[in-house]
Amino acid sequence: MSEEKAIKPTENKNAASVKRMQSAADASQYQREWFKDVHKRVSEGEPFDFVNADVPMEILRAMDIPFLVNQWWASLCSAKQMSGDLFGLMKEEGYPDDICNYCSMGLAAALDPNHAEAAWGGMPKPTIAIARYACDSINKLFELYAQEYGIPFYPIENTVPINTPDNWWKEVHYNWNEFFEKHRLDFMVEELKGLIRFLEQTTGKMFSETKLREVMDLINQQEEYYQKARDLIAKTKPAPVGITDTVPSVMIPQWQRGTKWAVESAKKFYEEVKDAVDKGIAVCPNERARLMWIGRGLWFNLGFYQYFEKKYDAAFIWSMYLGIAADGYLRYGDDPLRALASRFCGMEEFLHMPPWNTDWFIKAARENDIDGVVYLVPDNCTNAVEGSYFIVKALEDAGIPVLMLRADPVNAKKWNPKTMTEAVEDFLENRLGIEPNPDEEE
Amino acid sequence: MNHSQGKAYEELAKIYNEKETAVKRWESNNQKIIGCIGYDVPIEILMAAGYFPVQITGDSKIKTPVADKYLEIAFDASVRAQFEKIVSGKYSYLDRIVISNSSDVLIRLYYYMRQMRRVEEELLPIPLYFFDIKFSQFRSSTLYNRERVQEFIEAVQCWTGKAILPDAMENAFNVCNENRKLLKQMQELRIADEPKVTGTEALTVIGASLYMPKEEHNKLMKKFLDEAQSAQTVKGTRIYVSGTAHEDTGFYELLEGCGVHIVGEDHDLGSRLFMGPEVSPAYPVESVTDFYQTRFPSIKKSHVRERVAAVVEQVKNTGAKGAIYFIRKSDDAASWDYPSLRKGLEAINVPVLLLDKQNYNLDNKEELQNKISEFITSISNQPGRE
Repeated sequence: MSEEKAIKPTENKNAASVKRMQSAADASQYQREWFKDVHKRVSEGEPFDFVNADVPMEILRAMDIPFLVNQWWASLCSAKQMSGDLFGLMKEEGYPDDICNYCSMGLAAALDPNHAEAAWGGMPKPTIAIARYACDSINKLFELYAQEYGIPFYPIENTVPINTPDNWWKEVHYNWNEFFEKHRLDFMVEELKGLIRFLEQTTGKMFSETKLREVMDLINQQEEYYQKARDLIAKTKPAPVGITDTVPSVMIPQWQRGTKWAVESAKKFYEEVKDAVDKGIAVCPNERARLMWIGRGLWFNLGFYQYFEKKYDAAFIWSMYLGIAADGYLRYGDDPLRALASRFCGMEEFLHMPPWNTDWFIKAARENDIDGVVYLVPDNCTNAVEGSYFIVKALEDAGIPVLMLRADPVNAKKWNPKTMTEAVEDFLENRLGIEPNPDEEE
Repeated sequence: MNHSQGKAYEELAKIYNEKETAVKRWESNNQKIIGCIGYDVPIEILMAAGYFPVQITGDSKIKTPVADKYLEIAFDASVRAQFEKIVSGKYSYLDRIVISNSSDVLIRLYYYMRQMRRVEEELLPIPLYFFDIKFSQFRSSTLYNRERVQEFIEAVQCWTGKAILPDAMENAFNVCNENRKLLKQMQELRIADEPKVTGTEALTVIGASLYMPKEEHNKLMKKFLDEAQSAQTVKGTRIYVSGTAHEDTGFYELLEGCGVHIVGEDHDLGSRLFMGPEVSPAYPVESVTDFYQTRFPSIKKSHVRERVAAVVEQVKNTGAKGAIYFIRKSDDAASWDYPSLRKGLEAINVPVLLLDKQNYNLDNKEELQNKISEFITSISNQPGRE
């Protein structure tokens, strides 16, 4: 791990984070090289798919079709502070520029006449767009995106769970076939079969069940490392790493899941965490608060989290990104397509809906001995809402204080670093009783 | 706009204005009442089982302190108001609430209400049922929907403890078919060369059907259609209204005050409610599925191209000279359709006025009035029927 530096948010500027883990730096480097390769493959005439984050991309991986994830693209554009300009283009075309910011960045980029100058050379021209009917807007956004490029849009249906079984994280790895309602799994399998046939027909590439099994096995290996890393972080005091470290180390390989590189990256990440634990390296050597972040990551301002480490010895150690990697993805069994269907049957609810998410947050808070929770409530996205009343009630009833912030995690224009920093400072000082370090006081 | 109708309309308007209070008139029928949230609950099946289905709608005039506590800011104001009315006991007479998968926010509302019943049941004692219909125009979705319709029939039978007999199913289907047929006849009077029904009247007549037994509505509709023949001819610039659903007549009255004749709309509380194929009692599961899956595209659930094509066709049929696209705050899905819809309508020489990010309580009437009047003046020289 490299030397730690404090980042201080200012009134008008969002702060970039300091990368402290080699696995995060390696992942960023790999992603750049991968993206160059995608450009090259597309220029040579290969198919290239633009997909939403909740699309079972394992199918594409098994077919060796390069793809780009809408939300990864949004996070990249956001981190490059490009979101303001892109949303301006939306407005010029008559689209709203202040809703669905996380999911409309792909469409915004498609409208950009200077696309090649965009982040990392811009998005290569896709050949297919794929999304699920997970909210009222996403299918329209993907349809419009596909229309801009003159390519087909393939929508996949989504179903609503009626049963609410307890402790999903204990059941879904092995017992998924019984855990999810049969009609939902059956339908999802049919949807995946339709997608496979469509891809075979349009790309000329045949789908291989053997390859899918290999992809699913690789993903299990990858997520097992995340489980081990998650467990180590949870039980180690002071925490060896924070979410500014884990989010980039986990998210990029997660978009690359199903590859040998992703397994190696996860292994390296785990080994780094273990090495930090073994050497007694900590985010805050004098750790005074262990914090949980609920909500989407602040892609344009990851440095936000690090500010509190220095000033308060308060470490954000849990976010859904490593949490869901450890608990949500593993699937063991002999039917890879049905297992894959089960991975996507519950993911939205696990993350976004009570009681699945409330039970899970409490379990995570207890495992990590969390002192307080900062919860970013999306104020303009119906799909991202999580049941804020129920989350706060469940955590507070369990004795864990919660601070709610309202903001858009992608649109830097709507984020006021000063106000948000002050809110967290107030929470730390007045709810958790943590005084700032004397040498850091303003 | 001063326009009058006969006694049947007065009766329908009274029911429409009273809404859930009007429902109590039929309590003596000893029918259990089911509240529907979302406009895609197959009411035919509830009626066949002997239930009286009524629609739960919002109210822009009420305060929503409980909704503010439990629901999110991102939720549509109408949904928040519906929730408020439920938890404040306005619908305490309901035997059960059925929610359809008509929009994303309704799915969330179902999750939230279900969780509320788990952790604070005293606030929401009414049992819930979710009807997970798919709107994508695919055979696979049809097959999924058929299973859900069959499941719904079985659930309803379980609630009553009685099988739904074929005769009861046939009767309910016939009543609903007749109701939609009568509403289509009303629509013809609205778009005729010499129109006899205003937009406000149409909204009222359609809306009343949601708060009274369909058989009673059919009786009043027949009288209304008779009486409307001799009503004055409606004057005004023919305008099509698209976008967010209107739960009361406030916006329509505002338009009519600006010299507009509203000839049609695509929202759930207007023409979409009755447009679609007949349901056949010979194939109850199949035909109910087909009706709810394939009728006029839903604003929330349709693809942009499906909706644009359907609205353009509607606008042509109604002879509208212009269209007004009204989007309420938080009605995000409707916003994405707008640029394509505008292009589609302009291609048939129908200009569009966009009124977006509107507040639920229409607290900017003067501003709206100015925009609408300006728009109407700008299209007054357009060719087309007046």
